[in-house]
Amino acid sequence: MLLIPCPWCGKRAQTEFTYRGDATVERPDLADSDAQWYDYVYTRDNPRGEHTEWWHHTGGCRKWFKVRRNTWTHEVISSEPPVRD
Amino acid sequence: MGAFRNSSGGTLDRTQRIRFRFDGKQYSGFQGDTLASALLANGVRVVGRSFKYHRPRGVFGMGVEEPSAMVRLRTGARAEPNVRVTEVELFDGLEAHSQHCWPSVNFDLGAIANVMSPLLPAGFYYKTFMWPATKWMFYEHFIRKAAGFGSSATEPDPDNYSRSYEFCDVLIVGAGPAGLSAALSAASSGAKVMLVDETPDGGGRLRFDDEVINDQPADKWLNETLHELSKMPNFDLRFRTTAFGYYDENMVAALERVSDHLPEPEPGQVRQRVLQIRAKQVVLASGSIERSIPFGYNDKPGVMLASAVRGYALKYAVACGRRAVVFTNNDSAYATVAALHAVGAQVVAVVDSRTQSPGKRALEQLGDVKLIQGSVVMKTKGLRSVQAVEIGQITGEGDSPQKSHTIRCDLVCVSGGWTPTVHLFSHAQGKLNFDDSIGAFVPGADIPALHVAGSANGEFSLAACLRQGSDAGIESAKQAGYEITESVSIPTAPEESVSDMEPLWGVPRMGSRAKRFVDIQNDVTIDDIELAHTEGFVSVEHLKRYTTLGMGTDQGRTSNINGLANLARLREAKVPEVGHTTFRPPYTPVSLGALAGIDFGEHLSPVRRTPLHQWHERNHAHLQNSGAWKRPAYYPQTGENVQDAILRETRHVREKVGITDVSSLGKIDVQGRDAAEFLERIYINRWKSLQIGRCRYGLMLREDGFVFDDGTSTRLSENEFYMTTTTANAGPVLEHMEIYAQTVWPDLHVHLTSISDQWAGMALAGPFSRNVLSSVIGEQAASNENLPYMGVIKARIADVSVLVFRVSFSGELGYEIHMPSRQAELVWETILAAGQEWEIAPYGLEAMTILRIEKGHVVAAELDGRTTAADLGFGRMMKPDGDYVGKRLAERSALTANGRKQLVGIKSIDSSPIPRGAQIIAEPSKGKPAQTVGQVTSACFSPHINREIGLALIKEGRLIYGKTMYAASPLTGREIPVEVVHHIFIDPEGERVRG
Amino acid sequence: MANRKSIPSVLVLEIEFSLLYQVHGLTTESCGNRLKEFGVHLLPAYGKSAVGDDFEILSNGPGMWMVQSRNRESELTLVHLRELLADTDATVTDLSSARLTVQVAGVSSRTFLKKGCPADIDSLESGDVISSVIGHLGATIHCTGDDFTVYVLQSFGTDFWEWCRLSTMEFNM
Repeated sequence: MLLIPCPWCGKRAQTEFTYRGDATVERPDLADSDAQWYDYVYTRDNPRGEHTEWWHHTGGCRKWFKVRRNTWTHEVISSEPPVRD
Repeated sequence: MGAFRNSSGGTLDRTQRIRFRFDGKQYSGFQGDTLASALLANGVRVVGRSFKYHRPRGVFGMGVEEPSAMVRLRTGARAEPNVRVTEVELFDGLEAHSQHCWPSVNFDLGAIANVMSPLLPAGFYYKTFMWPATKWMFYEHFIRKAAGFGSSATEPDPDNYSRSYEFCDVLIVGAGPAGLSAALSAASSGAKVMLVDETPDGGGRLRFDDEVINDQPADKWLNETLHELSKMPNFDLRFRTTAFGYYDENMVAALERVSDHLPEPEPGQVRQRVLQIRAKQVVLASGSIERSIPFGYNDKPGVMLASAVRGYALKYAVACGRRAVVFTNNDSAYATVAALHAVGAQVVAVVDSRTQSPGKRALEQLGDVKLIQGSVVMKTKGLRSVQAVEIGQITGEGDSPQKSHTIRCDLVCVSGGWTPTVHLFSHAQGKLNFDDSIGAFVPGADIPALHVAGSANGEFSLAACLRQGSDAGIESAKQAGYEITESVSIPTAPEESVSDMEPLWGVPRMGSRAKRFVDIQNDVTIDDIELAHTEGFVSVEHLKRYTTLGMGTDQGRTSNINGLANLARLREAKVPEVGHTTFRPPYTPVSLGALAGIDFGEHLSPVRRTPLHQWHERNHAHLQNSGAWKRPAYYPQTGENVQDAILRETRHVREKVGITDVSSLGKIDVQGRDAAEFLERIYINRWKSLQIGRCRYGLMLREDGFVFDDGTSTRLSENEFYMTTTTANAGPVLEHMEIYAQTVWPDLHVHLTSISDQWAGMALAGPFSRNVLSSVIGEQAASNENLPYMGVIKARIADVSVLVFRVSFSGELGYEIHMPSRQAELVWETILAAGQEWEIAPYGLEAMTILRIEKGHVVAAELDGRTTAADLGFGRMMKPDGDYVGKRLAERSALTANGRKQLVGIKSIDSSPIPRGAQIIAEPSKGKPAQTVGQVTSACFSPHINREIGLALIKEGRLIYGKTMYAASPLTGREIPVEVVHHIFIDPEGERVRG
Repeated sequence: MANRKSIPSVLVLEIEFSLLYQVHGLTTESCGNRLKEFGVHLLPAYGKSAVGDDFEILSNGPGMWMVQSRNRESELTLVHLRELLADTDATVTDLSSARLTVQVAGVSSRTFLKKGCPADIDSLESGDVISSVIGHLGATIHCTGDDFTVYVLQSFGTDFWEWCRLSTMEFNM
């Protein structure tokens, strides 16, 4: 069971969290192309290796944050808030 | 006392005699005995039968490695199959039965399988019993019955189980010399240390052998060490606790057998507990297990591991036989001579397969017992247990041994070497290396935060084990942030000079038909391995599954290496090339009850109750599950059946006035400077323009353009909104909004707080609802002028501050009244009392469903993730300007094209009930496949239309009002003609709600 | 290992906070200046709590605090608190009915909580606040020395009581 490092609450058990997927995709502007919007909603890479992803501390402070995790070794490398202060 | 119990010796408390029964026969033992030691003391040699051939089996080992002696322990609801007698702590009144045999363990008709064994080699079920094919299910019935050991209890488990989340700096697995040495060092640093051991009192190898530590008997060192450790407040010792799995980030799961050793748990006590231990550092001091040597009929009762024979003698004063032969390929077995002499048994000979001499210490231990060097035990003789052995001399490399002579004996103490217990290291993704000098896999490269010490590391010298343990303790404490300030004294033991082991993976066949067993639980022989190899199953994983080698409850602890090595021999490869099968948790079996803890039955999922729950129960509501919530479905009155009650409630709302509990709705507090802007971007319609004190229906999409949820939101002040969602989506909507507020538009100043539990809600609906409301908040306050349709006011009912929303889900004049949930029952009863004049009555979900279908309101059945706002008739709500979630993809051509399914109503033409979920087809199918053009999403009998009606999504439905279509349910074989109509059946102009 | 005890080693009692608010967006400045009259000068650090005259502030998330009082007559009403914090960025939400609150007391109170909470209960010191789960339920846990105050959603109250009952059985033998 992974330990997820919530930037505020510290390392907690995986059961307190919800996973959402790739945190590097950004919501396009309305004016951007259809292809960009389809990519945003539907297309995801599936890398074997380091992955930056969203986790939600649902059973805790209820904040979303980014985690850098190795999808192959499960090593959790780092985490940071969505927006750097 | 038992014929095989020595009158003195052992560490048992002989003042406490214990009575127990095995197969109905009464025996006695002492407090501290295991069931194994007590049975051996009483001369019980045959305890069970093997899996396939039903050959007699007796006790083989002394611990978790036991492959043979399994029984059904206890009776009734606590009966447990496949329990290893070596792990059962004897208690007074214990009852055990042999299993997998009939009529008795000593005379088992199942042994016919042994006679048929040529037909039953490895994988026989792929080759035999195939013809005729029509009879296969007949054969299968008997084969299936024969497969499986014991039978489980059939009554519910009466015991309680628990779990606990533990944290420590250093977790040490194993309380043998290495583990205890590590504990001494680590605990002295001040680190929080936890030590787990699967036995009731620890000791590891010290249970088998009378060693010397710090110049004193090891037993004394053991007790003193445990005493010293128990005084430290930072030390937590758990005996009877097996670490069964190693998981990510140093999480070790362990099973604590809290009261297995008692006849039954004390009142309130749990039976077992699962510990989830998060340790900063882990020390594996899990020891090693002796392995067998495959030779002819080496499965017979009377063949035992040499270390077990010593252990039974040393600890329990039990002689496992009267005339013993020791068969070994290494020095460690020589200590068995003295151990057996101490309990009055005779050692006839030590048979050593090695070409080189035994070590100095071994020779001292041999004494004047006969040594037969360079020889092997070729096979055992005896009907149901060992009566003699045939010894053969190995004349040279590869030569078959020549039979030299027979020795009469009743006990063979076998030692094929020691296999480090590396399972947890392997769970942690550690790679193993094969160490030729010990003929076993040992931990390879280091893993962060995991240290291995002692014989688990392939180190068998006691002195070295103690040193390694101490080093591991110091290092792990240091890495956890604790320096050892004082020098720690390392326990010492005499250095020994030991001669090397020489691997003997199996005695050659030499023309005999005698089965040489590798796995004695699953009856896998060397011949089976050769057969598998011949048939092309040359990978170690295939070998395992084809032969079932190592797949029993013992997981091949005493035999796996022998199996791999024989495969290597056949492949003419080295053992590391063959490799090993994957180690997976759990290390030993864990009961499902322990894993479930209290989370089963009613407690499997959490239950959510509204603030009016007790009122509903007192008033005989029939409650139903609505997700996690318990909600009233209807309130039956005496003499009513279900349908009567529901229809009565439905009519009552449209004719008079009803009240229902809507507290389960999701409610979210949206506050901040940018609260309106935020809602503008979440919903498809406009919010910035909403006046204070007004509410508005809102629809929100997912980013892919499909409808997500709907609700009514109210502006309480400039920067404060009271938002509602559907019951089921309360959590998902909040999470959805948090994603956007925190990660997409973090610049917006808005705060979201769930207030679903803060507010209770009730819907007051019907022609007399305004009358009722007036009587509790005053006529002026309840007037149409003060509280128009979609208006909101604050008021007081029974001196409670409430919010009154003029909204209607039922389609009648209606209001929703919300108040802090603590005052809900007071307000509800106040309204009920005031409403008596107009015959107010409560109504439940069933009536609400009929009312909302009649009014064409959409719920989850219509918002199924495949419908757009336009499909549902809300296309005009989508604001043309401004960005909102889902806007862009809602505009894609597929979602705006013609030919989409649209929300319509349907009426059963001949009043047949409409099957919910039925498909819509244009013509009767006449039994042939038909093109579906839509589906029924909701259906009910409407007392107001006096017809079966429903809502449906039909292709271009809004263009075919009046047309007859068919609702087809292939599952029930029904096709109902329906008329397509507008989806609002009652008061389509909305005069009632706006009145 | 359970021993026979003549007094229960864990007690779970329901308590009630008459006033309970979720406040977002407090700052040291706004707290110090505007809540001064109630005896609180400093905003508690993340995961900590502070005690005022008749109320407490618990840090239960980044930028989030629970402000609560057991005093029914406290002047810290919703209206008054909002007035005090007007024209700051803080928002106040009433949660006075939204929680079931219990006090967990006794020598085995940590062992009891560890049965359901996967966070490190042993490391909590007096004044610490964590938001985690107990069993299936989200919970806020406030360490008040040897005792703990636990908050769960009101609608799960009966469920939580049942969890407490089953989990205390082995302590009160």
